Amino acid sequence: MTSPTLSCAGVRRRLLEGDAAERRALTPHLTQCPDCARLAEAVDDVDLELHGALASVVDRPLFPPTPPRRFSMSTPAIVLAIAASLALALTPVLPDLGVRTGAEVDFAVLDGTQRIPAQALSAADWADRRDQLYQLWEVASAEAPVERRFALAVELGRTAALASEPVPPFFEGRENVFYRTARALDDAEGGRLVAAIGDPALAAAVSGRDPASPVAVGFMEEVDAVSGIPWNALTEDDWADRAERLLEGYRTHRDQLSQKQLMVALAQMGRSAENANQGVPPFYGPVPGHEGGPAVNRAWYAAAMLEMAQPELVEKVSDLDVRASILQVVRMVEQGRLPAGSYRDVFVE
Amino acid sequence: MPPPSPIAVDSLASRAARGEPDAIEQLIVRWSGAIRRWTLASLGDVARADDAAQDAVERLLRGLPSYDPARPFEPWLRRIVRNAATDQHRKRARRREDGPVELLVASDPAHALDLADGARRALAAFAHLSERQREVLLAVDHDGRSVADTAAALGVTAGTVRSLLCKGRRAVRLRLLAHDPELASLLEDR
Repeated sequence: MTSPTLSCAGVRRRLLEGDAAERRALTPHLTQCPDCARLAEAVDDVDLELHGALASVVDRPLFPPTPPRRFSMSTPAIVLAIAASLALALTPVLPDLGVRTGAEVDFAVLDGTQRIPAQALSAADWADRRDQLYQLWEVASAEAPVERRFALAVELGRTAALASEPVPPFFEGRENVFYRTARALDDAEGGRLVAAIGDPALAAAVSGRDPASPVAVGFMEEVDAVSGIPWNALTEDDWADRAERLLEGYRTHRDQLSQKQLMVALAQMGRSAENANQGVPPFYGPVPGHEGGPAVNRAWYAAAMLEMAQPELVEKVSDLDVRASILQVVRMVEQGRLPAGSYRDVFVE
Repeated sequence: MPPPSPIAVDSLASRAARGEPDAIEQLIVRWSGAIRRWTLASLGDVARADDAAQDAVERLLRGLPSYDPARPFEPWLRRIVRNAATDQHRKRARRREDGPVELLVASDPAHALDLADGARRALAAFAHLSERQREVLLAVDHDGRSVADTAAALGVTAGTVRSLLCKGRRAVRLRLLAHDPELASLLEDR
């Protein structure tokens, strides 16, 4: 059966794909066609079922209603914080018991403080934590491994920020001195220390990077656009232009980009240079500190250095051929055919 | 229900970022629905969406002190939720526990919901949609947001949203209607 304008097939298609307004527009046909009317009713039923099911899932509160609390610290964090405080208080007597050294006890305080959520303490309490950690920094940090010194500097920076007192020696003007110190330690380690921070917000605060800034996002959109271009869609000269543009953007924005963004950008820059097929600097040549060595794709070498600092970062690169090329450079470094270094030393102007 | 107005939310977020406990509680209550919708759209199945939503709230609490009130809150929160959902994806891949989505919706006692069979079937059908289809169905059909708003939020054109809506509705309705042989034959006739 048909209405003046629609066949049953057309009505049924619109019933399957349309919304309530579309359904109303079909009423003239539905009043004349029992089969289509039956289908319309069934569609209404399944819509109602789906709507009810979704509501039962998404309308649940994430936390049961609770009265406002002064602290929202989790129980394990409270236990750790108390344990850490006790450890600090007992420091003068514990060494005599031969249980742990003073420095070890103090680093236990660092571990405990790291687990305390930001909102769990008042600014004054954070200032106390900061001062305790600063004593540890002065007494014990010099002999500690770089990972410990970095962790301590990060935590000093965090507690200083949470204490909301921009005072020396924790701040110089508006600059957080210990985040700067942590950054310097990270630079010396090729970026692997910041990359290992689990909390993205803390990593951003320490590194001073802002991967979500409009300029960084704009540059990554350009990188994404290049990644979607098939190799044979541009001439070699056009690929060379792309490589130049990516290099310019990379030099401008690299201090704002996350490790993941850096990896993806370097991967695409290396691919563009490869497709340009020109084999000349700045994209090809010996790597820094190995001037007499073989010429390599420098963007992929820089990407390989990121991968070595943060294993599996290369999985962010979706192009499997490019990924394999970067891993090949990693193997060359591991075999001693290329020197290890920092991505920061590549493409220095 | 659409998300609260941006100005009111951003003001609340600013207070929460300063550590005001009441503001933190209110913020979570007001954004619970949105966080659940986003994780469900991203992951498809209820159990993992629940885990990702709770994880997202914990990340939100950790990240609030670094939230910049000069920026809109919703995109910032969306990023947090997306990261939490991505980690759930990775956990799934690591555990190699890919199985029929119907089982994941229906069988996990830790996330058991008191749902009738029909509702479970509906959620399973919804889980079979693509992520984008789930997003637009939740935004437009469930929350009542306009096509234009949804397009802006997802960074796609209104035409794309309409297309996703048509395909998503069709897929989920066909899957649910297929349980009735008479209806299935009607649809074959079309």
